[in-house]
Amino acid sequence: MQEDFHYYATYCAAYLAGYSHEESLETGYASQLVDLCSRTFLNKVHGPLSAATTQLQAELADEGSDIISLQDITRIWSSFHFLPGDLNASVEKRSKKYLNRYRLICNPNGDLLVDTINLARKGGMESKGLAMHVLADTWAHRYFAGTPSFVINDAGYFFEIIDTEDGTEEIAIEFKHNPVAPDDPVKHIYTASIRQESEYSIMNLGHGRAGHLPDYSYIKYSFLPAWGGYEKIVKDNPSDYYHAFCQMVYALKVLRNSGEVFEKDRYDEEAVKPYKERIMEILTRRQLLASNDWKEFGSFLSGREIEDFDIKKYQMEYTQAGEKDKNDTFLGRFFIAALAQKSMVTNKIFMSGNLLAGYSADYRSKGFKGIRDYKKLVEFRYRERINEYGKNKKNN
Amino acid sequence: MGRTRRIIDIVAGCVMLLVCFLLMTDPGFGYGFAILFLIISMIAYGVRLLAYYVTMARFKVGGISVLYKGLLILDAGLFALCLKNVPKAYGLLYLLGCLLVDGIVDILKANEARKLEARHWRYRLFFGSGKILIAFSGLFFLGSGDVLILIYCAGLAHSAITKIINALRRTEIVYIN
Repeated sequence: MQEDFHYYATYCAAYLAGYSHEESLETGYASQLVDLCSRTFLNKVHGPLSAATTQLQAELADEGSDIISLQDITRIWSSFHFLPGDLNASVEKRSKKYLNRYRLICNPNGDLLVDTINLARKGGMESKGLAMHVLADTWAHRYFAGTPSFVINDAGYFFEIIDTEDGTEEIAIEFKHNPVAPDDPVKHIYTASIRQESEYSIMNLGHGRAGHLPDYSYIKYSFLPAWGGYEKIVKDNPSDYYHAFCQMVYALKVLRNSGEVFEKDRYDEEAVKPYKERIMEILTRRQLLASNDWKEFGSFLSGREIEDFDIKKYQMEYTQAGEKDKNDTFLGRFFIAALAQKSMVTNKIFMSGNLLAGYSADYRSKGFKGIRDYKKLVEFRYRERINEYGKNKKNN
Repeated sequence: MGRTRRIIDIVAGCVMLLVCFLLMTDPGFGYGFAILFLIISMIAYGVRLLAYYVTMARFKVGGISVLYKGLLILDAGLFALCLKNVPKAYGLLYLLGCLLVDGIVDILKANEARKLEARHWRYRLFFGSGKILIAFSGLFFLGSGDVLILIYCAGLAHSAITKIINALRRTEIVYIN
């Protein structure tokens, strides 16, 4: 998914869920920021480097194939872009090493999605936006894992499925490997990462081998994933994106009401129904970026102009704030939400007996241990607890 | 990173530094050792690929290619081990090639970092240019075993120090519920 869905469509979902124009903008902004908050960005604003939610190509190239780098990559991509669908998934006659990778395959409606939504309750619009990014990506990036793995993420035999008057037609998709060449939907030529038979090559991270196909809402295609035992998979992006949108509306409604429990596999199709035709029209239009269509739809919903995404929007507020006030700024709260999400997902993967995302130390039993950036998260939670205690005392 | 892994990495790093020191003190012995080490690395890589095929790649669609690759590399490594004398120029060309590619990658990264206004692009550019300069300068000394040892030791020392630093890094992620 790209800016069209993460920023504009998330704005629309938030507005349909009952948030104000300003709140919806913040939700969309946080959701899109997940794709831009790299260490290079954090260096620039002097933010905590562990709050990185993505990696630039240059940063990925910089990572080695040592265990620390692989765990760092897995933490970032599994926590924010390829949320594992089932950490206990099993296939017969597979080694533990293989299963560890297999269990990180992203899929919608996993237990970790429930944990992600519950975690978002603790924060403001930044946390909600971040959670919406994770939720939406479980639909777009399903069938691929957020760890470099040749045996899981390699893929081949891609065919685009096109509806015709007589039924459907399958057209072979051609992949090129020039990263600056634009994709050509007319000729069915797309860019994908190069085939590398090394298990830990970053070419085998996520959906690199399928290029940007999972990021385009219009395309329906079939392919053979490396892990599928020669079973063909059909990826219907318009349908998946529609489900993602309806689930975002549902999740955002749940997040508005503190007492409501988030349930898996529930979609607010009722709220979206009046606009279904228009949304499907946007989703199926053959274009590489649907930002303008979603922007128009958002303006139609709220009657307000939706500003373009500007990465510098909140930077000055953060950089000029004093050290103690940074956590009260938009970016500060976003960084805390990112640290919390990464910490939670790493813990769940670690507790499932899988070390691909690294070691997790439970603060309650072991105290503070490990990467110093996470002290910010501990201090933030501690301050929250004190404020909560103060409020309760006042009320009593 | 677990405690056992940290200890193994620190010990391995220290051994690598020791080897580096020994090679520098006796270049005559060093050249033969470096070539032998490169060949053993190749054989180990072949064996690793075969193990990778047995434990994981055989479950993958099209994973058989890993088996062929493993067999070919293992065979090439064993063949090289049987040779009585590997010309010095070949060993040096191999190392210079690696250095050149490394340097180009560094410069590309520096360029992207500069576009993104990141802070460390000058540092990368400096190291990338340095590596390319050494790679081209090395072409004038193709017959010299000493130059090969010098470049090899520099790489080995760098890997050893990185290994030790990584082993000492804090890597746990705290979880607070």
